[in-house]
Amino acid sequence: MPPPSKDRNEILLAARGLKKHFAVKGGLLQRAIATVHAVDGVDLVIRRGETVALVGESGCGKTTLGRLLLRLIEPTEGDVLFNVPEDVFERMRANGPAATQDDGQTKELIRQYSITRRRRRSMKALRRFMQPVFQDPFTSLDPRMLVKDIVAEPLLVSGLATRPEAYEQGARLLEEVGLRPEHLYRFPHEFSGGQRQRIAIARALAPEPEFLLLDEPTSALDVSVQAQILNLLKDIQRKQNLTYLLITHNLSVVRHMADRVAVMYLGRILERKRTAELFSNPLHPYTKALLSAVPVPDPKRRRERIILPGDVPSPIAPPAGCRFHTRCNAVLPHCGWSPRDIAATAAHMFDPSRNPDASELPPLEEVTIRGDEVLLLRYREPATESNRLGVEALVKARAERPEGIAFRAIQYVRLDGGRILLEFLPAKEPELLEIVPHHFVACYLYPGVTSATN
Amino acid sequence: MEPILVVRGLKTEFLTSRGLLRAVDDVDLQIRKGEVLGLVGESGSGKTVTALSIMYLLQQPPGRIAGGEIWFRGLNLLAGSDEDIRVVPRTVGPPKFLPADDLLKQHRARMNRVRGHGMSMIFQEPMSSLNPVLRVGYQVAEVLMFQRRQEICDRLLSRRDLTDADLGLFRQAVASGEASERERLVAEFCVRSGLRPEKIHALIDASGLPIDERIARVRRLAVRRRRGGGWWLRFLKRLDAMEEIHFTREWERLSRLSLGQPAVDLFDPKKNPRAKGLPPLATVSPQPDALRLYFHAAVGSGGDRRKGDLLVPSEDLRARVEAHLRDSASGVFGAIFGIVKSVGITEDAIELRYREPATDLFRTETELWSRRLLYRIATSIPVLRSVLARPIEEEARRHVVELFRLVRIPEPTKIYDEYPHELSGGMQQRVMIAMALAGEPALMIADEPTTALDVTTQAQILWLLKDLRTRIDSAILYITHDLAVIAELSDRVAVMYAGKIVEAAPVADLFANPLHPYTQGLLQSIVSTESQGLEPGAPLPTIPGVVPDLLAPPSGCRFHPRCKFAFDRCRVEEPKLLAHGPNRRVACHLYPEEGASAAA
Ligand SMILES: Nc1ncnc2c1ncn2[C@@H]1O[C@H](COP(=O)(O)OP(=O)(O)OP(=O)(O)O)[C@@H](O)[C@H]1O
Ligand SMILES: Nc1ncnc2c1ncn2[C@@H]1O[C@H](COP(=O)(O)OP(=O)(O)OP(=O)(O)O)[C@@H](O)[C@H]1O
Ligand code: SF4
Ligand code: SF4
Ligand SMILES: [Mg+2]
Ligand SMILES: [Mg+2]
Repeated sequence: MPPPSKDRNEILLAARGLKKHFAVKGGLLQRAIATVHAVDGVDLVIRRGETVALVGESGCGKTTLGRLLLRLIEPTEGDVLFNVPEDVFERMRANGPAATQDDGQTKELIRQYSITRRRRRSMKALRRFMQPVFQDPFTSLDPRMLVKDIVAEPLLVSGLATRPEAYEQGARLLEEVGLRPEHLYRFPHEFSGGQRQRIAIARALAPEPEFLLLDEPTSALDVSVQAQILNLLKDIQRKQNLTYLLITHNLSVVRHMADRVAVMYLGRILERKRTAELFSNPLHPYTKALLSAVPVPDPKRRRERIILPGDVPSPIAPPAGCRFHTRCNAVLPHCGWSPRDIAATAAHMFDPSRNPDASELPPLEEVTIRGDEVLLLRYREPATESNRLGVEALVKARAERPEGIAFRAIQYVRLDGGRILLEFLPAKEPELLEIVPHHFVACYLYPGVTSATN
Repeated sequence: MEPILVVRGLKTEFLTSRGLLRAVDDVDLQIRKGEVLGLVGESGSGKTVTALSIMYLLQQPPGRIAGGEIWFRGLNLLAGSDEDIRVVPRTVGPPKFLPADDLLKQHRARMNRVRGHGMSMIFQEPMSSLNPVLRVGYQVAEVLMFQRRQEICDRLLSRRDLTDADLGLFRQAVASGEASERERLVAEFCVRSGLRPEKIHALIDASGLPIDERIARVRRLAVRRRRGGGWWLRFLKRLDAMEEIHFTREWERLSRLSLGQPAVDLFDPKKNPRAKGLPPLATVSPQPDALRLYFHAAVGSGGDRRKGDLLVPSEDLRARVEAHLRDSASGVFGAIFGIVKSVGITEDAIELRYREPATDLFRTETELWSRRLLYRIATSIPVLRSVLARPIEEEARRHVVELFRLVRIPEPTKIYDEYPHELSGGMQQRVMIAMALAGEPALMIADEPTTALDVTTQAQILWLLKDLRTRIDSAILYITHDLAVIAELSDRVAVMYAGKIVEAAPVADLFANPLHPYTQGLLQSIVSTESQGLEPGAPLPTIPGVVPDLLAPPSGCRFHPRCKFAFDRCRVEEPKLLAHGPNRRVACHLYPEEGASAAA
């Protein structure tokens, strides 16, 4: 393993097929009853000196991904690579994104650069290069410690400096973030939110890191103070050639701060691109909706809004296929429609007592979902070929209608031992592909996007 | 358009361990019918406290409203609150104003009514205002049934109506039914209510009596009831509190009494430059149905007049007062004097005659509770329940489903039966909006309703509110710290800083040409997804420093330590919120007082 400080390689951090699943415990025995797919297969590259922004709605896995990158939590699957030379990274990439396709040589390379496979002890030396700054300046600072100790602590803990050195360094850092030396002898509660965030930044800067994880650094602050902190962060970055991962749900801050943006939805990245281009020409339907939803501080500008229907689905059972298909306004038949999406409608539609158009059919007994591809209809009497034709006609008619998109994904209507079986197109997730150079999108609307393999 | 809410000089304080904190200091606001007023300001500037003061939902203590007036549809809501002032007219000199503690209870009862029908509030955290153990639909239905129940009870209480078809059963069963059937019903009723049979007749007989007598009877009845019934006990407690409360007209009269101070202001040329041409006001005298104005003769104008003489009013003066009132109607005074029907003349005074009181809005709590009681008794009899309660419940359900459709809740019948925690944040907020709309309020106060939501959900809710505006005619006071949301939604904006309104303007004017240095700084320091001349990454213009501590606010202009234009006067003299052009107001010494030269 090359010592990270010596060769300053182009790629500072990279996520490769990163996954984090949390078990939801429940019941008397506190057994795992479900799994939260918080981060579900993420590839991300952060190059030295740039600011990458991670945006997405609450619960989409931004914080979890950030913590994985710093190895504050252990991944369920995948790797975080640190300080990789560009050519080595290219070689890994050429082998495809999934670990299953890795040959021996790639595996060896990954082992070499992965920080998630390191021993905990050897992680310690790396920690100082990567520091987090969290959202809430009110809880992230220990209320019983003086500011001078808060700032000096990381230096002392990692044994990077002696006590007097650490305090001297602390005083310098406070000045750097716009506070005065006399602030060293106060407690956190004596400061305003903005000042506390400055202290948190000073603390993060103490061990001279190369990378800062900024998790919603200004979300708890007032507008007028937010501007001060954003300026400070830009300023320090320029001076010390720092690399940032900026996690936020505020797209306005992203536009101001970031070089590149990754848009996350339900644990996956849907689009990745340079900031200016993302804002001028978003490609993914979700990004388009997200951008149009941001209110603009200009009463004269009235722009087109895309109002997404419904809410973000639960990460416990993310929709099959494209995760966004339940809310997308541009869905195609193969976006991942599954029996789940039509089960409620089907119980109504294929029941002669509720739908006059189905009057030819015998009384409907039961609708069952089998896997992600099959919906079963059981009638009071065994279904016949003419029943099957009737159901097929209903499906066809529905598929013609504009809101019948889910029915267009029904590939076959079969007879199966007296039951009628609706078979869907296999639900596959679109892969994040480079549509135009440096612009990655995971959506079937764009040619060249094939389904993710696994 | 006439204002429906006028807030004048509102002051709200908190007694904290570190001292008296004035969170809202001399706030003036006006909301016109059907308008959205955006109230914007940074954290701690006093937005929420302003809203809670208007709704009279402050936690007191530690909070208290230390002064000001809140006029809602021509009635001063604060009349009768702790700080109400009772007008004591005097023949010479200005009238005296005394606090009237005894009015407090009446005020509370009135606020309950206003909150149900006139105004409603949507909070930032929907979960904190929804009851977690009740189905959401039922919670909204409660609001509706509350009103419908009163109608039913009205009929129950009025003896004549007992012959109505739907109430026939009650009459038949209890009053003139078959002896055996009647005994059965009464017996069942006794078991359920715990009352002895003769009491039921007492209750029924009470329905023809005046309200006080009815209360007395119901009370006597209840007192003798056996112990332990939860709602009976609560009822008794309420009854004790209620008996001091009298009648609508009484309150109205009292709130009209406090018209005295605004009238003095209205005719004071210092406060209202338009009053310059009129003779000086000597005193005002509140009457039950009018406010009498006495004027001094202008000094020295007619030979034998001495200073302090009262003027004998002429028709000419009456006309001028009327014109003056009409002229002032557009401003703050409009709402206040909206209750004046005509201007009359007596032998020594000009009389502002009131319109008939709006009795529908303010009913006494007493009536309300006796109705509720009766409703409960009636619906505890199964037969009656099916006749009386079921239909209202079903009707309420239908109505709620309608409301859910109005706020675009998908599958309203399914959501009706869900519990709050089963809904997403956006859906909970929709339920809250539906609940706020249930009383068909004239004014909705929304305190950061989208701050806790995601952008896409926020877009849904903002779109919903905009869409609702075209379909209902409630005015909205929209509170937020996000100027972008203000730009999106509101017609006018008031900017708050450290407990004060520093600028108020139509939304387009404020964004195109902010006057107050704080507003300017705020607008410059926001980042946007659309380019506004600023290169991404370039340093943002900022306001230096931090929001002041309200326990020790800066002297003079509260913004002066952060203001780049501050000059000597700013440090010593507090700027007033003054008109700047026809529809803007700003509190800053950079802008000369309008008409100042004319007044000199
Ligand atoms: N320790 C944990 N145990 C179980 N579930 C978790 C845990 N941490 C996070 N989650 C779940 O993982 C998902 C992603 O959470 P995460 O905090 O990463 O989201 P986020 O994008 O940072 O959201 P926000 O914008 O609200 O901060 C959520 O559904 C969350 O409930
Ligand atoms: N119950 C209370 N006791 C003491 N002080 C209070 C209380 N409620 C509010 N305050 C103080 O009143 C001031 C105004 O608070 P308010 O909640 O109105 O601010 P706000 O403008 O709504 O801010 P935010 O945007 O944070 O909601 C603050 O300084 C606050 O500390
Ligand atoms: S693949 Fe593209 S078009 Fe299909 S649902 Fe997903 S985002 Fe929409
Ligand atoms: S009054 Fe003075 S200090 Fe206050 S905003 Fe105006 S110029 Fe600035
Ligand atoms: Mg987070
Ligand atoms: Mg607030």
